[in-house]
Amino acid sequence: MTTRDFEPDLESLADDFATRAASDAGAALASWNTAAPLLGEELQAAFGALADARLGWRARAALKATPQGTALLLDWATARQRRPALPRLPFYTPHLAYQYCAAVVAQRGTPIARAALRAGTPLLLALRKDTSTLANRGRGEYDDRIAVLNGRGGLRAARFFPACTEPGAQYAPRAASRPKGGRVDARYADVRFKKAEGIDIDKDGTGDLGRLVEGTYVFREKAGGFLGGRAFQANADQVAERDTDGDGLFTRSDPKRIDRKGAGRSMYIHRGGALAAKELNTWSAGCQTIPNDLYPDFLATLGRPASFCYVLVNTR
Amino acid sequence: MSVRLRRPPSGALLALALLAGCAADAAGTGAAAPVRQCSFGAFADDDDPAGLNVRAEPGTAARVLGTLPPVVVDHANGDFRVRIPLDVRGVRDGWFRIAGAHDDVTLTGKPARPVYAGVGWVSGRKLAVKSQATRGHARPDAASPVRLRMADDEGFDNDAMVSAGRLVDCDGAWALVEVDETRLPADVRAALTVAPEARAGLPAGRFRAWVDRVCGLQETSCDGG
Repeated sequence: MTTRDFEPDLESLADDFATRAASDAGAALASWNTAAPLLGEELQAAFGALADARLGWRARAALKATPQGTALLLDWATARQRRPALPRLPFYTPHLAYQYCAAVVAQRGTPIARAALRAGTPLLLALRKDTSTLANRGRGEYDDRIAVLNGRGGLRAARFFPACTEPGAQYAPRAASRPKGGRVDARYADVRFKKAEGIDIDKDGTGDLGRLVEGTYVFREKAGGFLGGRAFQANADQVAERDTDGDGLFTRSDPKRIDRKGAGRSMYIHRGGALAAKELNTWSAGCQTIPNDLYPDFLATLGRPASFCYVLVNTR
Repeated sequence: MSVRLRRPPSGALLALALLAGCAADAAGTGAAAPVRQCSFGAFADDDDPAGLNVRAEPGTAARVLGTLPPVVVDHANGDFRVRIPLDVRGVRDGWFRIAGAHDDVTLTGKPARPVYAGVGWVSGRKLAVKSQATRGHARPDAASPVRLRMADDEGFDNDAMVSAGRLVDCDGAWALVEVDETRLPADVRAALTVAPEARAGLPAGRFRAWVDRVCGLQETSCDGG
């Protein structure tokens, strides 16, 4: 992100662009040409996503009538197919963070998530950085980010928390010890094995760790508490992708990786081990976890909604 | 089910197994063979500072092989009860053949305490299970009548249900759990639907159901249950 001495109001810029485009595409593109270069790559992409989401058919038609407008629309359309960048934190202000997150939700969330955003109800946006399950000797890393978007009462602020959205190999059946010594899979020799988890989706005889597939999920609070406090469970079956080749990564090279039924609703949102712990451990076998020492702040920021949307996005 | 009887290990071997804290078959043989084999994770749940006795055979008169340390209460996190994870391998007369017990230092954040990790027997009254099942059944069979459900198809793996339940019987990956309803908070009681048959023959406020999808992890949920 470039250094700025001002706080851009991305939503106002997007509103202005969409309004102008409907009546004067040239004026709209001139305003884009003025504002976009000042924003830097990440916020420029957010500006584009917000503007794209606001365009009516008349504005789109007007833009398509110009070469630059056509190129811009094409760029925004292809941007949806690319992974967004994991933004460098902190943002200039919580309001700017909200606008960045709102752009990602507008571009990648389902209609129910976009409706929640418009209504100002609490919403979580998770930005995932691909991490090997073998990292940190299989105990996971808090290198993802979960933002709590709060639009209540016109507040429109977002607060980011470090998070883990992928399982650690401490729960991989491949990391278990063999009776004759060594591990089930030698690649897992360095892992601090705890207990075997994972569904054998490819039926090769070894359970496969899974992570939640990116998308929009609705969560609600579990009754009766979990891990001594509040935790959240999805209200419908979740789709998992599994590391079937055991290389620690979730990629398209994993055969038969998509698991539409096996995970059920077992991938919760709950507290994980503390950042301040002597040995960091995210406690994720596929759950979305937030460090214990930040979890009270996370809960306070979220409030007590009956349910909320959780939009999970893979970043580059 | 036929049970193959094996010669008990010698005293020297037993001592070695205890010293090593390994999961060698130091007990649970001969007369102490289980009536049924079981296979799932559970948790020792006892507050006695002296620890929970693990015995060579089912029953309080049997020799004590070792102990499991008491629950650690995490006061900083809602008084969460950090229990001793273990594997349940069989059952006989309300006693359970266990192995692989260990201190969950991930959750206690303290150095590991001495734990008897070998094979032995403990009373089901001191064992808690965490089931992610959304149905409790009349028998250890998913096709048997449903006796227990929670609203919104929630599982039974919440703290309240785990604390209020005790292991009564098991069969393979299934556990028969008896729940003391008086220990449940009002919101969980309200969310439960208990069939009258689940209360039959039990003291008031108690019910039983068979559950599967038993999760042996305390710090998170199990993938798919």
